[in-house]
Amino acid sequence: MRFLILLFGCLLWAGLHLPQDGAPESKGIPRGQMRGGDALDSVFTQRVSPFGMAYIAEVSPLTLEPLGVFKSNGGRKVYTRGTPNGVSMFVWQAVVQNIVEKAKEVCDDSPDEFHQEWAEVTQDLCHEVSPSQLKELWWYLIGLEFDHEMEMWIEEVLEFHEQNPEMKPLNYVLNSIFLNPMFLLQP
Amino acid sequence: MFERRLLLKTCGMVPLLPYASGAIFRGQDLEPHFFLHIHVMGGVDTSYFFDARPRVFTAKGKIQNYHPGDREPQRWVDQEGRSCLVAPAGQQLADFRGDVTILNGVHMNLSFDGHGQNLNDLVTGSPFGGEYFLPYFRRGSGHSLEFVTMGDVFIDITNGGGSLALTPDGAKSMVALATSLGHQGASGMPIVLNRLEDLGGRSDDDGLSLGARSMKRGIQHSDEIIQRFRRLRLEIDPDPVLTQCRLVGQIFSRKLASGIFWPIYGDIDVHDTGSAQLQPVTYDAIGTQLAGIFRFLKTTPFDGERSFLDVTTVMIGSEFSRTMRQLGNPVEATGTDHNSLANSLILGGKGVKGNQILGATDLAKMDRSGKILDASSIHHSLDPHLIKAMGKPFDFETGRSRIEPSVDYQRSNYLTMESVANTVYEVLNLPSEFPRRRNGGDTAPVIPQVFSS
Repeated sequence: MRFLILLFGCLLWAGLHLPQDGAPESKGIPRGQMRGGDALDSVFTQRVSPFGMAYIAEVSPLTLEPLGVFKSNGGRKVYTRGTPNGVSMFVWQAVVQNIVEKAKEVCDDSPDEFHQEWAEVTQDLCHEVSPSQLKELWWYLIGLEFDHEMEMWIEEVLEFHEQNPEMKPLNYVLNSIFLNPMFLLQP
Repeated sequence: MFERRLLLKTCGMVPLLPYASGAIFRGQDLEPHFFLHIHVMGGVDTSYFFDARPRVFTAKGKIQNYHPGDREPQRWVDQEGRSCLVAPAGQQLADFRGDVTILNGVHMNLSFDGHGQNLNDLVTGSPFGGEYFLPYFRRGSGHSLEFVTMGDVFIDITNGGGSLALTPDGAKSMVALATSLGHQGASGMPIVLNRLEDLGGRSDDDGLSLGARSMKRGIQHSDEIIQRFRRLRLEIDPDPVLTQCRLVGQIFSRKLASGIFWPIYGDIDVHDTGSAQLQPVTYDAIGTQLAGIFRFLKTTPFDGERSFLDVTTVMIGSEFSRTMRQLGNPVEATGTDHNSLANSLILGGKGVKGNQILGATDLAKMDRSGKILDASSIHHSLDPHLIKAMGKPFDFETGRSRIEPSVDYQRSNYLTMESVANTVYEVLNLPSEFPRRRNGGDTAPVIPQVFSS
């Protein structure tokens, strides 16, 4: 089983490791700033839903601008709005909230809006959580990097699960991975 | 001053409670002050508002005017005897003449002719984009957002990380999201905060730690934004302008933001004849919107003593004006192109003296044969075919137009966008650290007549 998970992860690494060809420009985004609405949407479109983040979250694409955007200044492109603040965190929480609401549909159905792989990775988390399921999700969404961060996140999720056994896991698992700095920030 | 009679007449129609929020500001040293920046997108033909020409100019083929009949524009004269000709769309603002200063003949950026460049220039002071002044307005006054744009706006603003684009529908969904976030809390937030605490606490300051700390602070601050969104009371009216006005009132009174950029759209970029011929209808609709906004501000109480107009500075502008006609097309079937040599802006509300008309354009005098009599040599060199009205030189001491003082074009001789911007900065009491705009080398002079005191 462990071998299979590792193999699955390696395949993802080879096939979907960020940045993808044709992915939005990440050059010029300082480390530790939000990676920008375009880049987040690109990852989301590749991994979660081909319809894109704005469609799934039911917001205007420009709603994602507070998450970082390239703007023209003096004839050159500069990256702006990348430092997380109250507005961007409000917007991101709201966007994630809507995404999670939609994503929870995988527990009852196989909604067409989502990639099949995403549905499979998340369906297992509707009722139970295990380290292997969480690893699979992390690798699928974020990649094989940041092992230490992944382990720490898994530990926190399992602890939270233990303390809140009545809560449905998919909600807090998805919230906490989309709000994880390794997903949102430029590594 | 607050027009109590007008207020009493209308307060039955306007729900008072959602706006009567001066109490939020009482007990604080900060005097309420808001800024509403209205921009008519596309380049307004000022001859359809406050810089019209007599019909004889159309009869002589100088300027298109698609208003039917022979109805002449009205002449408005201010308390100092300065005047302008006002077309029907502008006449819709007659009730608010006493509240505004009309600035005619404002020179925009002459080096650029595009919408984006001139919009950038108006908003940021550079045709390529830069900092917007609103994040510097009322900084530290406890508003949650740096500013709000009423809908999506394509301007290259490089600051304003704490701003949001909101329409009434967008605001409604934000209220719904804030409500659901507020009731449930973000599920799993302890996991998120623990990760941010851990990553942000690391001593190896590699950017990620800084980012994690900013995220944590942001999440904490977002609580306040969520609470303020939850307090918004959005009332939808069949009139979309009134609905937007109510959103403006809520944003100001609920302390979400002290400044709003409000773009107004209409088919006014009329390079083609077909669209140009529809201008009377198009501008009538825009005039109705602008009058609706002023009516809301003037008749809606901010608190027991003041209307929203008493506490809000208003600026209305556009990228540039338009040519009087196009060469090669008959005047009864012509579109118009961009004209940066002139523009009209309206300033009003808090800090602005009302009932004033400052500045003027040329190409307003003609002999019986149709020969233009008031174009300077500078105008001839900038616009040889005389199809662009040009702002006349302006005397900043007397507030009146004056004779061309030189043979070379020098921006300091004219009312320029730089001067208008610097004047607005003073009205808004922007800190001196925010750079004032320059007419080339020197800081552009403010227009002293604009200030109410």
